[in-house]
Amino acid sequence: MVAAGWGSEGVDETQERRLIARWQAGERDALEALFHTHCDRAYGLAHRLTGSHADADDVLQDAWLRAVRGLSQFDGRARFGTWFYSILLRVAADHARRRRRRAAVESLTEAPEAQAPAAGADPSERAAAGELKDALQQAIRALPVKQRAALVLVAFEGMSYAEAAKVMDCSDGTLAWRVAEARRRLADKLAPYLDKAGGADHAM
Amino acid sequence: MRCEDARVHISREIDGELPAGKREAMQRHVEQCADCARFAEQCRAIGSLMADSEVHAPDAAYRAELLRRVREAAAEQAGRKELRPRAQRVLSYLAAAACVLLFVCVVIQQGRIAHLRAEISHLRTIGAGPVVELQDFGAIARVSAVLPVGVPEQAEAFRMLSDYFQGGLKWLVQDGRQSELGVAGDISLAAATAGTALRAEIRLVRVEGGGEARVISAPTLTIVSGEEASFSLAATDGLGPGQFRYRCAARRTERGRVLLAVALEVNPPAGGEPARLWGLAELHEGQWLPVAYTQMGDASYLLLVGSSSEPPAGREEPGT
Repeated sequence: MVAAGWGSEGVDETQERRLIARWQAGERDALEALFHTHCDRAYGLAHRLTGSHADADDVLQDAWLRAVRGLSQFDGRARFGTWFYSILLRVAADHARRRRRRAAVESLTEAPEAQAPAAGADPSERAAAGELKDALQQAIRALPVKQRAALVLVAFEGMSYAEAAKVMDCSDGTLAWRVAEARRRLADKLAPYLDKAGGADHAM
Repeated sequence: MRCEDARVHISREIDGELPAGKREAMQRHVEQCADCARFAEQCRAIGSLMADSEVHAPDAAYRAELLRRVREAAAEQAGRKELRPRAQRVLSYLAAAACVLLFVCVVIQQGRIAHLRAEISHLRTIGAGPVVELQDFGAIARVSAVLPVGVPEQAEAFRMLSDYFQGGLKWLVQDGRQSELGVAGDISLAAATAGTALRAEIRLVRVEGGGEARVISAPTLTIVSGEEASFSLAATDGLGPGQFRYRCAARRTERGRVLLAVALEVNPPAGGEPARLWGLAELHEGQWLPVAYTQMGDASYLLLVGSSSEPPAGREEPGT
């Protein structure tokens, strides 16, 4: 049952600490309140990091499981959201690694006589040609994990650099570099669409 | 100002995170540098695209379903000391009259091994003895399990075991043939036939430039007396470079020994030709023999084979 007032607008820090304390003391309803506060945003983040509902669901479930198992040790120095989203990022990164590995292993076992194993899932899937938004999604998925996470947190989730740096456990400078580098890679990949100049070679 | 720094400033400004004092210097650079001016334009265009992009939000049904699963996890966490019914069922199969040995190779990511060790220790403390063993090689662990043969529900038991380890089981080695683990059809195990089943173990060790050695893969192969066994299996090193693939063939020699041929392809991480290691070894029980060695980049790979014999429980070991 959703307690009135715990919407996705968020709860203030004091209320949050009380919820966590109640959960650590074993009150199950407190978990639900935390869940509802962060559900939508966490889903949006997971979807942007993974690119599909199914993968976002896997990542979310795993992240919540880890949070549930780890909450008894949560010391409250960070806000719950910061802590939870950093778990989510780690889970998404693990998930991406597993997917690449599974794709490679499956391709090997399906064709044991193949000359060479697949080099891992190609991050840029075949796209509907010329569709800029698709190209954007693929380009984002092709970003290195940390740069993708940094860009998603800042540009999609609207986090401040300070907040995003806490989630990613890095300095403000590192975060700024990752976001800028992500943009540079996107600009390179999307230049043929954006510039309409065409023809130029863009290094990845 | 270097372009690399200018790009960071441009990016910061888009996010409203550029300190006022840096703005002037950045603007001066952009006025003078066509590339950075272009970058700024592209970022603005990308920003509009991103602002227009779909917002992903869960529907109420999904939210409720996810909450249900989260609640279950929380309840399970709270009641962790209780014996889970699923474990009991798995054990009832494991404890049934078992006369065969089944080897199951598991590839587990770092971080899950501690969890798996806890699960196995939990299984042990509630009965049935050391029927499940975990060997931890660092990033990869191997679980060996005993399952009965001929039990009608053995496929079900297999699937439960797989579920129990949360899908971490990857390969089933049976009759010397490897296959992806799924709901098994006929599970006829090597040691179910007459004679001694010989288990060959292969270890692939990677030695880093600094000398640190680590076993990164350890498949096993079961060889049945009188039969030629061959299999190919694939493994991916989760720690580091590339992927590798084995092919093995085994044969009993006239003297009753087992000759094992192993060929291994290792793909370098940065692409290029795979390195190949291959060699022959006559297996001697309880001994590890180096079979092949190669260097790739700043790491070396060493292939070892060893063996142990696993007579079926309850049977006399026949003469070879």
